[in-house]
Amino acid sequence: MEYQINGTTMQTVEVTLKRGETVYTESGGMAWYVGDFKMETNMAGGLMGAIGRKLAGESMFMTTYACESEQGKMTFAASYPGHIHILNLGEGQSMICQKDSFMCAQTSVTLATHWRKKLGVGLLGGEGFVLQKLTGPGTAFAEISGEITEVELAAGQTMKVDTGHVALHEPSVQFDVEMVKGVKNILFGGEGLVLARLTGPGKVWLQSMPISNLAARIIPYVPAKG
Amino acid sequence: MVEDTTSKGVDRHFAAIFGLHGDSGKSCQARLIPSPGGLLIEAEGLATRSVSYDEIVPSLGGTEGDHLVLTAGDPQRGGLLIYIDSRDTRSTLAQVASPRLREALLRLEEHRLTRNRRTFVKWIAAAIAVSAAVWGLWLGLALLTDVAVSKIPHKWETELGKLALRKALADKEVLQDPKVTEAIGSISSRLVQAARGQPYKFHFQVVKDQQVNAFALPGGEVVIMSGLIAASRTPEEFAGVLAHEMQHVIGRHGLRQMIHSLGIVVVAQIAFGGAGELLAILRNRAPRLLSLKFSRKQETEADTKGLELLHAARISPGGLISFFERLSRKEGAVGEGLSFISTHPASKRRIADLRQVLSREPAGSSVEFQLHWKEVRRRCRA
Repeated sequence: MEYQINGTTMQTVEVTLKRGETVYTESGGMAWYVGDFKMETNMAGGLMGAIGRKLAGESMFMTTYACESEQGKMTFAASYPGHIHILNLGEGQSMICQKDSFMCAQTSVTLATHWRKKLGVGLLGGEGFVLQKLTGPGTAFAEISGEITEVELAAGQTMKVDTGHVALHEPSVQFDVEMVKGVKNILFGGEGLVLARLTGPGKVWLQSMPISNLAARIIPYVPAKG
Repeated sequence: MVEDTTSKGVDRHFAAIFGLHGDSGKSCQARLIPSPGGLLIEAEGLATRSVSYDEIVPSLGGTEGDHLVLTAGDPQRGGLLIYIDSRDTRSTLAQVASPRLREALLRLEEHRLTRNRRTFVKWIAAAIAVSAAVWGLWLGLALLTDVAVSKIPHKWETELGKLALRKALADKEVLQDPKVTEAIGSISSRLVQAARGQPYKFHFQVVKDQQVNAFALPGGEVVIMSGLIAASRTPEEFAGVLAHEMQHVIGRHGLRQMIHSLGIVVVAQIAFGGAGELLAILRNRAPRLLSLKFSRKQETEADTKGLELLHAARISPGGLISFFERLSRKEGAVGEGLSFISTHPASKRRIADLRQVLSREPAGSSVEFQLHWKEVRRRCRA
């Protein structure tokens, strides 16, 4: 499978498939295609898998496209301003992604629900209780809100992130939350009550504009009803 | 047996390994071969490395703290950090490792399971706490609504009721029959007289509608469907329904439901502050009074106090019960026409409750109505 990312801040990814090659996406993820494709929609992973997927911000149904011509080009479009992140996953290699971020992947990649086990992180971490876990081998594409920054943490090295800016990270990265210290900082610091503390080893990809921040800036300009 | 599992598992054991390239922050996906002599690591482009089991210090780590982390040497100085996710790999490793490492791995696994159980309990506790908070909020809302309702002047209710009435009568025709009006007047005046000391001025109207129903709006506007009169066998049955509806007004049930639906923030504002801009909000929402549902508690209150009112007016209270009983028997057969039943489910329990209230009341002497009720019903059937 070959692919090409097009565009600048409202990107699309075009994948080129040979006969018999397959990609899958959540239903409604495909934008356009050239060539012949066989489309098959099902509740991959059974009902529980579908429910987990729904909680993780995806559709309950997944659609698989199999190329039926010599060559076919299929394009997937991002659903919010930002960038498309390419994940080339080795066999057994996993990546933990924020909910909503999965776009499409080769069928060899598994998309699973990652449940937060730490209560505090789930409640206050800014990413909710349910995330997505992609496991290789294969190539997958994830949506990032805004611009992307990659940080590599050495073993034991930590960084602090305002909640919501963590787009994806390797599963070796430890994820905790900590309270912002000082009453004045909490009330007037504008960073919220908690920060995410990430501890290496492993890579973290940060997004510049979480969709919730963008929405918060737009809401004041939305005309009130009635 | 040991060899069997290793040979079977050869292809399936993978780990993210840090330090293979001498950089502790860069992971490398590699294949693990847990063999009796040591842990073999195969990564693309690198020579196979063997790590002795004696070098390995196991711990738990990763995002949720449930990955098995094997540390071999100092990660800052060329040592390795091996992150294992798969349960299969963990158990295979425990089977082939040296006795020391095996024991450490089993201890860790036990620790992991204990922690998982604790996590489960914590989540359950959190779920219970959340439900308790929601319940508390709901209870708080009920209390605050009572406070808020007490702050609303009766005059407002009358105004809201009139607004809703206009909407209700928009597509209805009022029954202008002097015989019917007179009969309704003589029944209702006895009830109104008995309900002394309440601030509302009641006003009764009959509309041409074959539904067996009646409704009361805040402030005292009562609308009676002609179908209700036609379905009442005696004036006492009809008076029972009227008494029930009047108690909805006196108990301010409509206003309470309306305020309750505004949500806890608004309700708290009214309860702690003033009613200020509320009238405008309520005016906008006045049409909703027509589709409003009373709570079960309010229905019970209207039943009980309705019986008291009948008693005070010296009207035989058995009418309300016999009306309910008859309608509930018919419920299945007649269906749609019985909307009074659909908004006032005449369950066996309700009838039993009514009977119980009735038995507590001292049997007073009732005065029968002197009306040509058959004629009134006939005029309402047309």
